[in-house]
Amino acid sequence: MNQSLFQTRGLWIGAIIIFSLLMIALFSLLPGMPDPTLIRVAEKLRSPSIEHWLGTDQLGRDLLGLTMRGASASLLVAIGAVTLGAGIGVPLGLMASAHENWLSQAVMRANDFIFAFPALVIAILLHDTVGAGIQNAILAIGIFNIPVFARVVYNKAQSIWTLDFIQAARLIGRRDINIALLHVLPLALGTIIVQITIQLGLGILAEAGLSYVGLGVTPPTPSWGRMLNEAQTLIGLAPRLALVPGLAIALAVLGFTLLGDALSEWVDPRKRNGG
Amino acid sequence: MLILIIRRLVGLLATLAVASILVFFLLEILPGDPAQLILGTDARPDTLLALRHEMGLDQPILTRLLQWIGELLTGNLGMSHTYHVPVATLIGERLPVSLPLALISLLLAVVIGIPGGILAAMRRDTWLDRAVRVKTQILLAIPNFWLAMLLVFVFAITLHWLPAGGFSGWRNIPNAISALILPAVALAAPQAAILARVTRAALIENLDDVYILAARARGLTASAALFRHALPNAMISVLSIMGLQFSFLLAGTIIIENVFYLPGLGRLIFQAVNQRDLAVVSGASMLLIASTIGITFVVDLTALIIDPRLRR
Amino acid sequence: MTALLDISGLSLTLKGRRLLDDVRLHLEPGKIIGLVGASGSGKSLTARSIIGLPPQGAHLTGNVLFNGRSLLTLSDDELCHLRGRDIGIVFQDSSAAFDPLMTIGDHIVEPIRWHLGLDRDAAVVMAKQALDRAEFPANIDAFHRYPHEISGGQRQRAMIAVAIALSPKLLLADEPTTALDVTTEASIFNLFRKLAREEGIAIIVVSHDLPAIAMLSDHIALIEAGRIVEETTTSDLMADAPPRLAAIFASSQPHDASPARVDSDIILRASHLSFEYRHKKALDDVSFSLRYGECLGIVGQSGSGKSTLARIITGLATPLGGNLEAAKTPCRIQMVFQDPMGSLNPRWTLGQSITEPLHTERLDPSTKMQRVINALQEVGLDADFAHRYPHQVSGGQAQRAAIARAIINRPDILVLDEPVSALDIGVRSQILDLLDDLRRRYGLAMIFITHDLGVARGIANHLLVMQQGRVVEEGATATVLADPKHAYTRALVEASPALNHKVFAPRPLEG
Repeated sequence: MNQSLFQTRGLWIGAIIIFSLLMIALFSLLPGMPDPTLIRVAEKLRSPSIEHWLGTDQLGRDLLGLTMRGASASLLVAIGAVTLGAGIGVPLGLMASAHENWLSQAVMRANDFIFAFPALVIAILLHDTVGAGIQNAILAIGIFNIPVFARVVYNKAQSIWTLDFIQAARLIGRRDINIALLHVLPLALGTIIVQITIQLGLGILAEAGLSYVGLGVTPPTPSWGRMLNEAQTLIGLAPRLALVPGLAIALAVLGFTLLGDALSEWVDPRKRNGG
Repeated sequence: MLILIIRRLVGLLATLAVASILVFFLLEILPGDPAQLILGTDARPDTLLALRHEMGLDQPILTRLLQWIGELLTGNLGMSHTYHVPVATLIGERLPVSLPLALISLLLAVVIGIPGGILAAMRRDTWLDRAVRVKTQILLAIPNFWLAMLLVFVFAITLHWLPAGGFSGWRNIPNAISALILPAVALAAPQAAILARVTRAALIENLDDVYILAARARGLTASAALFRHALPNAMISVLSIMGLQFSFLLAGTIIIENVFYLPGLGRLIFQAVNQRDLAVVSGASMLLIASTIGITFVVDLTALIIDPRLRR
Repeated sequence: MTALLDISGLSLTLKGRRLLDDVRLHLEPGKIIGLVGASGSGKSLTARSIIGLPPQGAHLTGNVLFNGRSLLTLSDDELCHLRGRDIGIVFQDSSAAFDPLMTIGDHIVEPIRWHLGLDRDAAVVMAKQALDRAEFPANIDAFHRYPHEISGGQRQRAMIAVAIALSPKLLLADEPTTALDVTTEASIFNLFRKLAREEGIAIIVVSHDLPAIAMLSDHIALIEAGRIVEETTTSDLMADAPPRLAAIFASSQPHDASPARVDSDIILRASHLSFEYRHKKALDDVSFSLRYGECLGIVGQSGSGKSTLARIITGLATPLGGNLEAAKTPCRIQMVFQDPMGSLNPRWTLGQSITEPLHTERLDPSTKMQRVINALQEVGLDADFAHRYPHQVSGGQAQRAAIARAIINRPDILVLDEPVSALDIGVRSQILDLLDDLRRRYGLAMIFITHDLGVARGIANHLLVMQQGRVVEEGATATVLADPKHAYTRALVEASPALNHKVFAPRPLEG
């Protein structure tokens, strides 16, 4: 069953990208690293050189350093949001699927209700309560992740709960929560993992969008989205200021997407050749 | 059948009600005194009191909630304290930009995405299929505002074919359209990618089903079986995804309008957030949310009409 | 008569594996041939290869002559002309074979208009005639119904109507009645015979159920691992069958059940049970009593209420009215389900599944292992099955494991819901023998639910025949089967393939 997974090119490319991303993010946070947020107006808009591999931005900050630090911000937000979303969404979906009664219907209705609020709108609404910053980003994206995970787990678990070995477990005297943890969850794990990779990728995109409009990570913490905002007016002058963070975002998201795609084909192999 | 429609309608209204209550309370919790915000920190206490009374801030919460809902229903979204103009008027001015933008993007996304997905499914596992998959993966990984910037760089700054931003009204139609092209493309690109993937996946899933084999056994050619049977069934799942995507499209306009300096609803919200103009933020957000809920309702209804299994 | 269909040397290779090997078949107009084989033997592939729709990537060689034309050399367009017009095919899973968005009528009209180019009104007339020829009950307006709105048996008839609408010369039926009740199956068989005799349609019926095939076909061919290994006529099957077919036939005739223990105590008493589901009476005034060491067979077709009764007995549902009393508390009840693969967690080893009932006891690993080995032994499996996963074993072996799980705690009552229906015919009698043996050894009280009277005969001491929620007949198995009093029971007896061949093998005496 596992052989075809490790032969998928997409899996390896995705994994390498993500691993590199993680390493870059961690590396950039090491105490000995030079602080990229240091403003040195005298060195503004330098072209790439030995000292600054990617040059500097309009405030003299090292572009490479900023980009590397931005990785840690994006990853932090994405991981935080997924933890929030899955942490609440998965148990919700599991328990709602256990019994088809009015309670589970109501829960799933409320769940789908949140879909009406795109993450950006939630961020806007939260902005005045929570304030801008990394908490706002994680909360807004995380809240939007909850119904995603709940719905995905609910749909998958529904078909599992009706299987006979669940009835057999009930007859043996197991309580629903034990059945959910021992039987249903392991079988739904593949789907959950795939969704996690998808939401991580989407989380990075969302964080970039939030930072772009100023609702995400606050200065001086570097963020790819905000870098894009600042690069916008200078695009004629120094296109690399827009190219670099954009490419970073695209690569990061692509890494997660490739990984997610490869995993989802492994989890749910469709026989392409009929039966 | 009628009962099902009415049930959906009731659901729609209930969701709208809950959404508005939620928005109200969210804005309720925010720290700080709106009156003080308007008058500044060194306003005199009695002026503050007078303004608070005028804004109705000294009423009990329940009364204010009911007032809020009542105002929503009558289309009174309050008064913008930045422009001193009713919020509804402001929104009305911005809609002629945002609405056409959203519609053009939707059209582009559908016209490119769905046929792309169909093509990929028809030529499954060939180079064409792989090309479509790779292109969609890349398009999905790109933030749409970055794509927007790249488009501006290439088509506006370098080639001078299209404007880099701004919108001068509908009186000059060719100008208006050319101002909306790049934004629409930037908005439509990721949507088209998603539609292509979903269409392809749904189509392939249906093509592997027994009823397609049965259609072939009745003598239909492979493409007849695809277009007459697999496609309509696949469209049902695609339709529900389209409904979900619409809310992302709307949220996307907020960012895109900023990139292109378009005087639309999205830019209004963005500026209002920065200016702490609560009335505008709440009113415009409610509009976005209401249209999302409305679209979901329409999608549900369409599914009900198309799929006989839902009519039990 | 010249052969309508002449297959020789048909071979199919897929991904390097030879799935069909030198298949030969010979069919004349108006004749019915039964292609019998276990799952995976290649019988369905043969049917799909004939109409030129093999699985993607399959490579076919050999000769398939249909009315003198070599089908394997035709282009797909030419084959499209034949499919649905000269050759019709009926699939096994009627619920999946229809486009859910189209009415039944549209499914029949489509090939008529596609092949003949008629306008809609003329096509509708032909389509309705097809429904009549398929003996669709006149009171149901199938034409305007959607596939999900009619029952399984009706859908099967609808599929037949679609296949015969243009009066094909050849009809391929892939497991057409496997999912159906015995009485519906009998009427579908009658329909096939009528079509063969009156319309001269040649029919190939693919199935794993030899006694059913024997009731229907003129010739029988046995396919194993992609090869036709034996052939015979049906009359020869009774008198002078080739060895493999004879063996399969014999194993499809279960022995009579061992007698129940005498004078044992009553463990369960049900009085006047009733249950409603969606305003219909699923159970109506059902009463019975069950003793230790006895097996009660509950026989009924779909809709008879037997599954509802199973759920009530096991406590998974509560009756609306009536009383269910157990003679002792706590009364331990366990259940064995129909689909062995669905009743075992696919990610757990068999050993883990079998010991799940022991979850309240704190056992150290070696004791647990010992209990597993003992349990496996009891059901006739080797110790190394403990480490295998469900997808690594056969259906019969998986069902044995499910039985081991059910009896590991020595329940008072064992409820079995169609435990052999999903298994191949050859395996059924082995499982029935095992259950019979376990009942005698441990004095279990068993409730065996089935739609198949032949199976009930092999396991039950007492029979409860149910129809639409009511008990229509009850009594000792031998009595009920030999002399059915109720009309419904009589119809069931007459329709059951296994009971109709009068090949009763008496149980070998204990030596």
